[in-house]
Amino acid sequence: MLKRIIQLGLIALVIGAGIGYYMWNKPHESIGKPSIVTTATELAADFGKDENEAMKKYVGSDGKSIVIQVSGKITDVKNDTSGITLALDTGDPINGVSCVLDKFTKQPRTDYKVGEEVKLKGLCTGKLTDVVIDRCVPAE
Amino acid sequence: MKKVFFSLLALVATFSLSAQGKFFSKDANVAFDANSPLEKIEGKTNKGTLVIDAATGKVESAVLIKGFHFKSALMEEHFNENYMESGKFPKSTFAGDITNFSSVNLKKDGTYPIQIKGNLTMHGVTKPVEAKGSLVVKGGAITNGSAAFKVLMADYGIAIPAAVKDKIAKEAKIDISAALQKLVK
Repeated sequence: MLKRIIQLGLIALVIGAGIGYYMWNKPHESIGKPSIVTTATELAADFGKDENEAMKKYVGSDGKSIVIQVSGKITDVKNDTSGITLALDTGDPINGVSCVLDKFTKQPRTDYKVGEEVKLKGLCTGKLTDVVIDRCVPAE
Repeated sequence: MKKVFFSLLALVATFSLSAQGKFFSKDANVAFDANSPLEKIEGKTNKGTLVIDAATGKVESAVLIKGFHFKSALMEEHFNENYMESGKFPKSTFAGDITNFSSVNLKKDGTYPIQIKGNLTMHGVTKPVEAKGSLVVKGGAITNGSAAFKVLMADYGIAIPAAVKDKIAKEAKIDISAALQKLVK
């Protein structure tokens, strides 16, 4: 009887450790289907009008991520050791939109050029000088 | 003639004032490090902002919490949901002064050690903090800035559950560094 309990206990321990190990090493969630489709101009305008409302709409207030798709023309490409950032034209030099390419995804391309029209999806993190969209990948 | 001279003088004066100007970055690297001997806990973002006013020595910085990424997705989730509550407090900001700014000679190239004093807002709590850092001056411009802060999590109302208290440092290190550009208005 005691042997049986120890056996069961050991099995439970191994399963528990396995689940723990899996949870700890689970990969970063990939960027799924966008729930909001917008343009850089509209996004910047929304943040310019009422930042709190825009935060609720695009960033979310419960810690869950909202995938947004944004389209626009590239005005600047910054490529350094910490990653690639694309600035999109918003028609308003003070309220920009910056898209940070996702480092957890193998990007299909990294040769973006100024003047190119792009459609990207990612997670909006809020606004500093620019509205920042993080973890961007191309949207189809 | 006199009028022209004075307006020229005024023009020159404006130019030399603007040569002081502000230096900024919107791609500052910010690292949050709560490493303990048991666990490596390090989050990074390259989307911080940093502004240094070369006329007054004032410093301002801001960062979006959801922009921090960790190697472990689970750690990132805990950082956002349990500790920083980024849904409620999406931004962290710092505003302060370089207290020894007078020792920074903008006319002489070099790396200058700086001391910073100001207020850090994190997790909705604002506290006075001090930091050490450096400025790089090149060709009359501030080209790089960096600073290292140490913050006690408890000061900012960030509770660490007893079960993991040995795994997370009570005092976190926040490092910021950026290549700066002159702000053109």
